[in-house]
Amino acid sequence: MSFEVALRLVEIGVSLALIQRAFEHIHNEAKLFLPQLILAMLLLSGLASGPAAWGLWALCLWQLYRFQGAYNGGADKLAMLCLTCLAVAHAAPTPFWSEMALAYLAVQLVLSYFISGWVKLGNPDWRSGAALRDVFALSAYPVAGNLRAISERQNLTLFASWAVIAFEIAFPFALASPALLTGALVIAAGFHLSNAILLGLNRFFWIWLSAFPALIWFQARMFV
Amino acid sequence: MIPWQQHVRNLYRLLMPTLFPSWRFFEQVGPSPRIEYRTNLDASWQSTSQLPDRLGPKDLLRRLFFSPAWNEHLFLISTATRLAVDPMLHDVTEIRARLARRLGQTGAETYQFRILFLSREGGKIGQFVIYESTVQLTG
Repeated sequence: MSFEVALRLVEIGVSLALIQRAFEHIHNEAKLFLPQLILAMLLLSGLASGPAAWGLWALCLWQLYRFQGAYNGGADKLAMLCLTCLAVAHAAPTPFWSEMALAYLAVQLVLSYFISGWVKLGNPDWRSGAALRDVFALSAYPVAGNLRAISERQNLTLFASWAVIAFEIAFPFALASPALLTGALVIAAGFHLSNAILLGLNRFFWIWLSAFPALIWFQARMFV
Repeated sequence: MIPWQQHVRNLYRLLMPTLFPSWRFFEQVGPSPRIEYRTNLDASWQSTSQLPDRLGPKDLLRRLFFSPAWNEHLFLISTATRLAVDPMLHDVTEIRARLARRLGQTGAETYQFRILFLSREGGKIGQFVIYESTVQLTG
Protein backbone atom coordinates (compact mmCIF):
# COMPACT_ATOMS: atom_id res chain seq x y z
CA MET A 1 0.00 0.00 0.00
CA SER A 2 1.45 3.38 -0.99
CA PHE A 3 1.77 6.25 1.48
CA GLU A 4 -0.82 8.32 -0.41
CA VAL A 5 -3.40 5.49 -0.37
CA ALA A 6 -2.81 4.77 3.33
CA LEU A 7 -3.13 8.46 4.23
CA ARG A 8 -6.35 8.77 2.23
CA LEU A 9 -7.83 5.61 3.79
CA VAL A 10 -7.04 6.88 7.30
CA GLU A 11 -8.68 10.20 6.36
CA ILE A 12 -11.81 8.41 5.16
CA GLY A 13 -11.97 6.20 8.26
CA VAL A 14 -11.39 9.05 10.71
CA SER A 15 -13.90 11.31 8.98
CA LEU A 16 -16.57 8.57 9.11
CA ALA A 17 -15.80 7.94 12.79
CA LEU A 18 -16.11 11.67 13.51
CA ILE A 19 -19.38 11.91 11.56
CA GLN A 20 -20.72 9.01 13.65
CA ARG A 21 -19.59 10.81 16.82
CA ALA A 22 -21.10 14.13 15.70
CA PHE A 23 -24.51 12.52 15.10
CA GLU A 24 -24.47 11.16 18.67
CA HIS A 25 -23.97 14.67 20.14
CA ILE A 26 -25.51 17.11 17.72
CA HIS A 27 -28.94 17.15 19.37
CA ASN A 28 -27.60 18.50 22.68
CA GLU A 29 -24.35 20.24 21.72
CA ALA A 30 -24.83 21.62 18.21
CA LYS A 31 -22.30 24.43 18.71
CA LEU A 32 -19.50 21.90 19.15
CA PHE A 33 -20.63 19.12 16.88
CA LEU A 34 -22.23 20.78 13.84
CA PRO A 35 -18.82 22.25 12.83
CA GLN A 36 -17.35 18.77 13.42
CA LEU A 37 -19.91 17.25 11.08
CA ILE A 38 -19.17 19.82 8.34
CA LEU A 39 -15.37 19.54 8.67
CA ALA A 40 -15.51 15.73 8.78
CA MET A 41 -17.52 15.76 5.54
CA LEU A 42 -14.90 18.06 4.03
CA LEU A 43 -12.16 15.63 5.10
CA LEU A 44 -14.19 12.74 3.67
CA SER A 45 -14.51 14.54 0.33
CA GLY A 46 -10.74 14.91 0.02
CA LEU A 47 -11.15 18.44 -1.37
CA ALA A 48 -9.21 20.23 1.37
CA SER A 49 -7.82 17.47 3.56
CA GLY A 50 -5.07 19.53 5.20
CA PRO A 51 -7.24 22.47 6.36
CA ALA A 52 -10.04 20.06 7.31
CA ALA A 53 -7.66 17.97 9.45
CA TRP A 54 -6.31 21.07 11.21
CA GLY A 55 -9.84 22.41 11.71
CA LEU A 56 -10.96 19.12 13.25
CA TRP A 57 -7.84 19.03 15.40
CA ALA A 58 -8.62 22.49 16.82
CA LEU A 59 -12.26 21.54 17.34
CA CYS A 60 -11.36 18.31 19.16
CA LEU A 61 -8.96 20.27 21.36
CA TRP A 62 -11.86 22.56 22.22
CA GLN A 63 -13.93 19.47 23.05
CA LEU A 64 -11.16 18.20 25.33
CA TYR A 65 -11.36 21.52 27.14
CA ARG A 66 -15.16 21.52 27.21
CA PHE A 67 -15.33 18.04 28.80
CA GLN A 68 -12.08 18.47 30.77
CA GLY A 69 -10.75 15.29 29.17
CA ALA A 70 -11.74 12.78 26.52
CA TYR A 71 -15.52 12.34 26.50
CA ASN A 72 -15.19 8.72 25.44
CA GLY A 73 -11.79 7.77 26.93
CA GLY A 74 -9.36 5.96 24.67
CA ALA A 75 -11.55 6.23 21.56
CA ASP A 76 -11.50 10.02 21.61
CA LYS A 77 -7.80 10.03 22.49
CA LEU A 78 -7.02 7.92 19.41
CA ALA A 79 -9.23 10.19 17.29
CA MET A 80 -7.18 13.18 18.46
CA LEU A 81 -3.93 11.30 17.77
CA CYS A 82 -5.14 10.37 14.26
CA LEU A 83 -6.05 14.00 13.56
CA THR A 84 -2.68 15.20 14.84
CA CYS A 85 -0.83 12.75 12.58
CA LEU A 86 -3.03 13.59 9.56
CA ALA A 87 -2.63 17.34 10.11
CA VAL A 88 1.15 17.07 10.53
CA ALA A 89 1.41 14.76 7.48
CA HIS A 90 -0.29 17.44 5.35
CA ALA A 91 1.72 20.33 6.77
CA ALA A 92 5.12 18.58 6.80
CA PRO A 93 7.81 20.37 4.78
CA THR A 94 9.12 17.17 3.15
CA PRO A 95 7.72 13.71 2.30
CA PHE A 96 10.04 12.23 4.95
CA TRP A 97 8.28 14.10 7.76
CA SER A 98 4.86 13.23 6.30
CA GLU A 99 5.85 9.59 6.47
CA MET A 100 7.12 10.05 10.02
CA ALA A 101 3.72 11.38 11.07
CA LEU A 102 1.88 8.34 9.72
CA ALA A 103 4.58 6.03 11.11
CA TYR A 104 4.03 7.55 14.57
CA LEU A 105 0.34 6.67 14.33
CA ALA A 106 1.25 3.10 13.31
CA VAL A 107 3.69 2.72 16.22
CA GLN A 108 1.11 4.04 18.69
CA LEU A 109 -1.42 1.55 17.33
CA VAL A 110 1.01 -1.32 18.00
CA LEU A 111 1.69 0.07 21.48
CA SER A 112 -2.05 0.33 22.18
CA TYR A 113 -2.26 -3.45 22.03
CA PHE A 114 1.14 -4.35 23.47
CA ILE A 115 1.07 -2.08 26.54
CA SER A 116 -2.53 -3.01 27.26
CA GLY A 117 -1.56 -6.71 27.22
CA TRP A 118 1.64 -6.12 29.21
CA VAL A 119 -0.11 -4.38 32.11
CA LYS A 120 -2.74 -7.14 32.22
CA LEU A 121 -0.02 -9.80 32.31
CA GLY A 122 1.47 -8.08 35.36
CA ASN A 123 -1.81 -8.18 37.25
CA PRO A 124 -2.56 -11.47 39.11
CA ASP A 125 -6.30 -10.75 38.88
CA TRP A 126 -6.09 -10.77 35.08
CA ARG A 127 -3.99 -13.94 35.07
CA SER A 128 -6.56 -15.75 37.25
CA GLY A 129 -9.55 -14.45 35.28
CA ALA A 130 -10.87 -12.55 38.32
CA ALA A 131 -10.46 -9.13 36.69
CA LEU A 132 -12.55 -10.08 33.65
CA ARG A 133 -15.12 -11.70 35.95
CA ASP A 134 -15.43 -8.38 37.78
CA VAL A 135 -15.77 -6.49 34.49
CA PHE A 136 -18.98 -8.47 33.96
CA ALA A 137 -20.01 -8.77 37.62
CA LEU A 138 -19.68 -5.22 38.89
CA SER A 139 -18.36 -2.78 36.32
CA ALA A 140 -20.70 -0.30 34.61
CA TYR A 141 -19.78 -1.61 31.14
CA PRO A 142 -22.01 -4.62 30.28
CA VAL A 143 -24.85 -3.33 28.09
CA ALA A 144 -27.56 -5.77 29.24
CA GLY A 145 -28.48 -7.53 32.48
CA ASN A 146 -28.07 -11.03 31.05
CA LEU A 147 -24.36 -10.34 30.36
CA ARG A 148 -23.71 -10.23 34.12
CA ALA A 149 -24.09 -14.03 34.08
CA ILE A 150 -20.82 -14.32 32.13
CA SER A 151 -19.06 -13.56 35.43
CA GLU A 152 -20.25 -16.93 36.77
CA ARG A 153 -18.62 -18.87 33.92
CA GLN A 154 -15.14 -19.06 35.41
CA ASN A 155 -13.59 -21.26 32.72
CA LEU A 156 -14.82 -18.90 30.02
CA THR A 157 -13.49 -15.76 31.72
CA LEU A 158 -10.15 -17.45 32.45
CA PHE A 159 -9.80 -18.55 28.81
CA ALA A 160 -10.92 -15.15 27.49
CA SER A 161 -8.49 -13.32 29.81
CA TRP A 162 -5.53 -15.31 28.53
CA ALA A 163 -6.72 -15.04 24.92
CA VAL A 164 -6.82 -11.23 25.23
CA ILE A 165 -3.43 -11.07 27.02
CA ALA A 166 -1.77 -13.40 24.49
CA PHE A 167 -3.20 -11.56 21.49
CA GLU A 168 -2.25 -8.11 22.79
CA ILE A 169 1.28 -9.08 23.79
CA ALA A 170 1.92 -10.95 20.53
CA PHE A 171 0.57 -8.14 18.35
CA PRO A 172 3.98 -6.55 17.50
CA PHE A 173 5.16 -9.90 16.05
CA ALA A 174 2.44 -9.55 13.39
CA LEU A 175 4.67 -6.94 11.73
CA ALA A 176 6.93 -9.81 10.61
CA SER A 177 4.85 -10.55 7.51
CA PRO A 178 1.86 -9.13 5.60
CA ALA A 179 -0.07 -12.39 6.09
CA LEU A 180 0.47 -12.34 9.85
CA LEU A 181 -0.56 -8.68 10.00
CA THR A 182 -3.73 -9.35 8.01
CA GLY A 183 -4.61 -12.15 10.44
CA ALA A 184 -3.85 -9.96 13.47
CA LEU A 185 -5.98 -7.10 12.14
CA VAL A 186 -8.91 -9.44 11.49
CA ILE A 187 -8.65 -10.72 15.09
CA ALA A 188 -8.28 -7.13 16.34
CA ALA A 189 -11.41 -6.07 14.44
CA GLY A 190 -13.29 -9.00 16.01
CA PHE A 191 -11.97 -8.01 19.44
CA HIS A 192 -13.19 -4.41 19.02
CA LEU A 193 -16.52 -5.65 17.66
CA SER A 194 -17.03 -7.88 20.70
CA ASN A 195 -16.16 -4.95 22.99
CA ALA A 196 -18.73 -2.86 21.14
CA ILE A 197 -21.40 -5.57 21.45
CA LEU A 198 -20.76 -6.64 25.06
CA LEU A 199 -19.52 -3.40 26.64
CA GLY A 200 -21.04 -0.75 24.37
CA LEU A 201 -17.65 0.61 23.23
CA ASN A 202 -18.89 1.40 19.71
CA ARG A 203 -16.57 4.37 19.11
CA PHE A 204 -13.47 2.27 19.82
CA PHE A 205 -14.51 -0.08 17.01
CA TRP A 206 -14.73 2.68 14.37
CA ILE A 207 -11.66 4.71 15.32
CA TRP A 208 -9.31 1.74 15.76
CA LEU A 209 -10.34 0.32 12.39
CA SER A 210 -9.81 3.69 10.75
CA ALA A 211 -6.15 3.69 11.84
CA PHE A 212 -5.41 0.18 10.44
CA PRO A 213 -4.26 1.42 6.97
CA ALA A 214 -1.41 3.32 8.66
CA LEU A 215 -0.17 0.03 10.10
CA ILE A 216 -0.51 -1.85 6.81
CA TRP A 217 1.55 0.86 5.06
CA PHE A 218 4.10 0.95 7.92
CA GLN A 219 4.62 -2.80 7.82
CA ALA A 220 5.24 -2.75 4.06
CA ARG A 221 7.55 0.28 4.36
CA MET A 222 9.67 -1.09 7.20
CA PHE A 223 9.65 -4.86 6.98
CA VAL A 224 9.13 -5.97 3.37
CA MET B 1 -11.53 35.30 35.92
CA ILE B 2 -9.00 32.60 35.10
CA PRO B 3 -5.69 33.99 33.76
CA TRP B 4 -4.85 32.91 30.19
CA GLN B 5 -1.70 31.13 31.37
CA GLN B 6 -3.89 28.79 33.38
CA HIS B 7 -6.03 28.04 30.28
CA VAL B 8 -2.87 27.22 28.33
CA ARG B 9 -1.55 24.98 31.13
CA ASN B 10 -4.93 23.25 31.27
CA LEU B 11 -4.97 22.69 27.50
CA TYR B 12 -1.43 21.30 27.65
CA ARG B 13 -2.46 18.93 30.47
CA LEU B 14 -5.41 17.72 28.40
CA LEU B 15 -3.57 17.45 25.08
CA MET B 16 -0.46 15.54 26.18
CA PRO B 17 -2.26 12.26 27.04
CA THR B 18 -3.72 12.23 23.50
CA LEU B 19 -0.31 12.65 21.85
CA PHE B 20 1.46 10.21 24.19
CA PRO B 21 -1.32 7.89 25.39
CA SER B 22 -0.65 5.45 28.20
CA TRP B 23 -2.79 2.65 26.64
CA ARG B 24 -3.19 0.94 30.03
CA PHE B 25 -6.74 -0.26 29.32
CA PHE B 26 -8.40 -2.13 32.20
CA GLU B 27 -5.07 -2.39 34.05
CA GLN B 28 -7.00 -2.71 37.32
CA VAL B 29 -10.66 -3.59 37.68
CA GLY B 30 -11.36 -1.89 40.99
CA PRO B 31 -14.44 -0.43 42.67
CA SER B 32 -16.99 0.57 40.05
CA PRO B 33 -18.97 3.82 40.25
CA ARG B 34 -22.71 4.26 39.89
CA ILE B 35 -24.81 7.41 39.89
CA GLU B 36 -28.22 7.26 41.55
CA TYR B 37 -30.95 9.86 41.87
CA ARG B 38 -34.29 10.43 43.52
CA THR B 39 -36.88 13.04 42.64
CA ASN B 40 -38.03 13.60 46.23
CA LEU B 41 -36.50 12.88 49.60
CA ASP B 42 -38.96 10.08 50.43
CA ALA B 43 -38.42 8.19 47.20
CA SER B 44 -35.94 5.36 46.86
CA TRP B 45 -32.72 5.86 44.92
CA GLN B 46 -32.73 4.83 41.28
CA SER B 47 -29.79 4.11 39.02
CA THR B 48 -29.21 6.49 36.10
CA SER B 49 -28.50 3.47 33.90
CA GLN B 50 -31.39 1.02 33.86
CA LEU B 51 -30.01 -1.91 31.88
CA PRO B 52 -32.34 -3.89 29.62
CA ASP B 53 -32.46 -7.62 30.47
CA ARG B 54 -31.13 -8.45 27.04
CA LEU B 55 -30.52 -6.82 23.66
CA GLY B 56 -31.46 -8.37 20.33
CA PRO B 57 -29.27 -8.35 17.19
CA LYS B 58 -31.15 -5.33 15.75
CA ASP B 59 -30.54 -3.26 18.91
CA LEU B 60 -26.87 -4.27 18.98
CA LEU B 61 -26.42 -3.33 15.32
CA ARG B 62 -28.14 0.04 15.85
CA ARG B 63 -25.95 0.75 18.90
CA LEU B 64 -22.83 0.04 16.85
CA PHE B 65 -23.70 3.08 14.72
CA PHE B 66 -25.65 5.26 17.15
CA SER B 67 -25.45 5.02 20.90
CA PRO B 68 -25.61 8.51 22.47
CA ALA B 69 -27.34 7.46 25.70
CA TRP B 70 -24.83 4.69 26.42
CA ASN B 71 -21.86 6.92 25.64
CA GLU B 72 -23.29 9.58 27.95
CA HIS B 73 -23.58 6.85 30.61
CA LEU B 74 -19.88 5.97 30.10
CA PHE B 75 -18.96 9.67 30.28
CA LEU B 76 -20.88 10.10 33.54
CA ILE B 77 -19.19 7.02 34.97
CA SER B 78 -15.73 8.36 34.12
CA THR B 79 -16.74 11.76 35.52
CA ALA B 80 -17.88 10.08 38.76
CA THR B 81 -14.56 8.21 38.96
CA ARG B 82 -12.66 11.46 38.46
CA LEU B 83 -14.78 13.10 41.12
CA ALA B 84 -13.69 10.42 43.60
CA VAL B 85 -10.00 10.76 42.78
CA ASP B 86 -9.54 14.46 41.99
CA PRO B 87 -12.74 16.45 42.68
CA MET B 88 -13.40 19.39 40.35
CA LEU B 89 -16.41 21.69 40.26
CA HIS B 90 -16.67 20.90 36.53
CA ASP B 91 -17.50 17.24 37.25
CA VAL B 92 -20.33 18.01 39.66
CA THR B 93 -21.69 20.63 37.24
CA GLU B 94 -21.57 18.15 34.37
CA ILE B 95 -23.46 15.44 36.27
CA ARG B 96 -25.95 17.99 37.59
CA ALA B 97 -26.67 19.46 34.13
CA ARG B 98 -27.20 16.09 32.47
CA LEU B 99 -29.46 14.79 35.24
CA ALA B 100 -31.45 18.05 35.27
CA ARG B 101 -32.01 17.78 31.51
CA ARG B 102 -33.02 14.14 31.72
CA LEU B 103 -35.28 14.44 34.78
CA GLY B 104 -36.75 17.76 33.63
CA GLN B 105 -38.15 15.90 30.62
CA THR B 106 -40.05 13.55 32.98
CA GLY B 107 -41.74 16.48 34.74
CA ALA B 108 -39.70 16.28 37.95
CA GLU B 109 -39.04 19.68 39.52
CA THR B 110 -36.38 18.71 42.03
CA TYR B 111 -33.90 15.88 42.41
CA GLN B 112 -30.97 14.72 44.46
CA PHE B 113 -28.13 12.50 43.30
CA ARG B 114 -25.39 10.45 44.87
CA ILE B 115 -22.32 8.62 43.69
CA LEU B 116 -21.52 5.22 45.09
CA PHE B 117 -18.94 2.59 44.35
CA LEU B 118 -19.47 -1.15 44.10
CA SER B 119 -16.58 -3.30 45.20
CA ARG B 120 -15.84 -6.92 46.00
CA GLU B 121 -15.45 -7.55 49.72
CA GLY B 122 -14.63 -11.10 50.71
CA GLY B 123 -16.41 -12.66 47.74
CA LYS B 124 -19.49 -10.45 48.09
CA ILE B 125 -20.28 -7.23 46.27
CA GLY B 126 -20.62 -4.29 48.66
CA GLN B 127 -21.23 -0.58 48.11
CA PHE B 128 -20.11 2.70 49.66
CA VAL B 129 -21.38 6.21 48.99
CA ILE B 130 -18.73 8.88 48.29
CA TYR B 131 -20.88 11.88 47.39
CA GLU B 132 -24.44 13.00 48.02
CA SER B 133 -25.76 16.23 46.56
CA THR B 134 -28.17 18.67 48.12
CA VAL B 135 -31.65 18.94 46.56
CA GLN B 136 -31.34 20.42 43.07
CA LEU B 137 -33.83 22.13 40.76
CA THR B 138 -34.32 20.66 37.28
CA GLY B 139 -35.26 24.03 35.77
